[in-house]
Amino acid sequence: MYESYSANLFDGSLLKKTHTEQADAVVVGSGPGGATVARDLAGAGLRVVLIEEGRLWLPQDFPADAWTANAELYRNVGATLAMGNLPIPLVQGCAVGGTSVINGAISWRLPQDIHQEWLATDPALEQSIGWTALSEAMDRVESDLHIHPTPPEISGPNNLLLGKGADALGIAHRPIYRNVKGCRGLGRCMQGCPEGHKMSMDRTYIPEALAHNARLFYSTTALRVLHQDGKAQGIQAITKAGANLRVLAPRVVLAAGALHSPLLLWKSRLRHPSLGQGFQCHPGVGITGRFPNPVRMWEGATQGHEVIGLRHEGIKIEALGFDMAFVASRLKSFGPALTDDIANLVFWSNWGAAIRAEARGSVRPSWRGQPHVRFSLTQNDLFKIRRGIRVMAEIMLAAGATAVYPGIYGWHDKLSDPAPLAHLEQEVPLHPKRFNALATHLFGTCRLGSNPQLAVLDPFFQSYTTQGLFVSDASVFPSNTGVNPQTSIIALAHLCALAILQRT
Amino acid sequence: MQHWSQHEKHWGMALFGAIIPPHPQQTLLSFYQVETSGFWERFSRVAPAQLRWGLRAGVWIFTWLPLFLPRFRGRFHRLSSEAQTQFLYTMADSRSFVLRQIAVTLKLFACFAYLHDPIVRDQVTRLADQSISSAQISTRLAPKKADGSTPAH
Repeated sequence: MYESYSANLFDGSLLKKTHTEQADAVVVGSGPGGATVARDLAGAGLRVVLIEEGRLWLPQDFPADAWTANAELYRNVGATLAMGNLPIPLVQGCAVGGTSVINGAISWRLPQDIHQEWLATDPALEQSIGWTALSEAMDRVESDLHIHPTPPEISGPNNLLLGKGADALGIAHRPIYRNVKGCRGLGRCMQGCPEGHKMSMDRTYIPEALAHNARLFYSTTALRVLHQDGKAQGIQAITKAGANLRVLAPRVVLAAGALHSPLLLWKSRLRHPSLGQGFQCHPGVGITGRFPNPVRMWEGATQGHEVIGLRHEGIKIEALGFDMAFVASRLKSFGPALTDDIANLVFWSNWGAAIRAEARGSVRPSWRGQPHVRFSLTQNDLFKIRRGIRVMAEIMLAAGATAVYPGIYGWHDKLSDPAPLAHLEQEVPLHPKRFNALATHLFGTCRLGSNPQLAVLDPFFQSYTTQGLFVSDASVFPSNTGVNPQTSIIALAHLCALAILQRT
Repeated sequence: MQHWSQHEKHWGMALFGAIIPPHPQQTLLSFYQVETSGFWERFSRVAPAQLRWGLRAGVWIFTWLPLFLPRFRGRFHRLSSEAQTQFLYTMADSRSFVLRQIAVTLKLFACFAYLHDPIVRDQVTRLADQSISSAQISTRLAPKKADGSTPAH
């Protein structure tokens, strides 16, 4: 796929000489937000330079095991922590294609009730991201990325058991809509699809941008935004080989994610009272269970089935087909019992509940220049976490699990029947350190809005302080969404590109 | 472990080896038989400093802590295998959040290193192959059509 575009590809690990590029627009970050804007602007005839810190991976090179994938494809080995009343690892991708390379390919349209919340808070957003325009953009995303429900023949038992259990309890569920084409259910979404069947940005919009003569510098880190007299002028970057790269362009689009987009603005001395404030995410908790028949969690669609009946409570349950190393590490046992469990790993299952947390945190640069994230779960968030665990455990037992491990400190290690779950609320106080969570889907650190005191960007994605500077990733979201945001990010990025073309 | 002292490597291996000891039926390689040099080389190269130092500190704490606990009274690598397992369970269930997190982190890296080895992955998969195939299970669980048949594969 990339052979045809070799003239437009620049590997930063080989670029050792200082270099200056002239462009009409420079985009930082090649995830869903950046790739979309790059593609749309290049398609409109602009000279676009796309900068990506991670490297370019071809499908056949993606690692098979979880550790190598974490080390090579995940930012900070997946060990960036949000510090607060419960330290929470934050998961982000770092590769050409960004997090779309390592996510479960889950594609949700932005729910209209969430959009209404946004407009209720700030009606001026109607002019830039009104429902009609957003719906059309989401239609386009669904068509471009081949989004469709996971068929049962590639689901694998881990997904089908979730449906079976939810059915038994009468809770609404459905196959997950995913951006895949020709998926065979290899269970490798989170390590990068080895057959290129996930319609991630590196397989879709980035090649299209390159076909329109965009130039991609990968293994290259953006250092700061160049600006003068309130106008954006370009990006200063450094290649992995140590060379300075200066891209001069009157339009600068940051799409480095909700942690690194605000960080770049801080480093560029483009500060704003709301910059980095309002950080939100979807903390997730998981449970494991053992079934009498093989589950082979690492086979089938990585995430192919979900429970949607609790979405309006801010809880979404998903089957989560981890690599076998992750499965093993999540088991309760140690020593000979763990070895025995690993020998019987085929019988284990893992599901997760993502929480629409109401808590808001902040992102600031640390003394080492890395994002320092403060985030503390509220009592309501902990309530949702506890409820999510209870419902997951009930579903797992209803699906036929012989043992469920809820993973709550100081409570039952193992459940073989649902009776103890009836007392969960009475017996487990809402103390954050009783739970283990990790968070995906990071939002809200450079929000859109009509009030320049409260929002970093105007309703058309442009910085209030710097003309020609735009942000196009989940950091622009007024709030979290309670559902997987990839489709929404791409749809908003289409609208951002449109705003750039119309207003600059 | 590349930059660890010989003592630290010894302590680390004792901990990881106790987390995943040899399988009684020897159906799987033991942690000591697994090739982990590539794993640790990559860990040294890419893991952020706080993770590298955190893991090292965890190895120190879990090596020396049992010496001060009346139930154990010895450094971790000098304990019997039963006492080592008991200590790990005690830490995983500790009132201290930090000790629980160290136990979780050491287990995570033990599993990463162990299942990084293609031979172990192959063994686990082959053990799986001895049971019912994934396709058979999927067929059994797939939603039925109105006539009772399953969707075509």
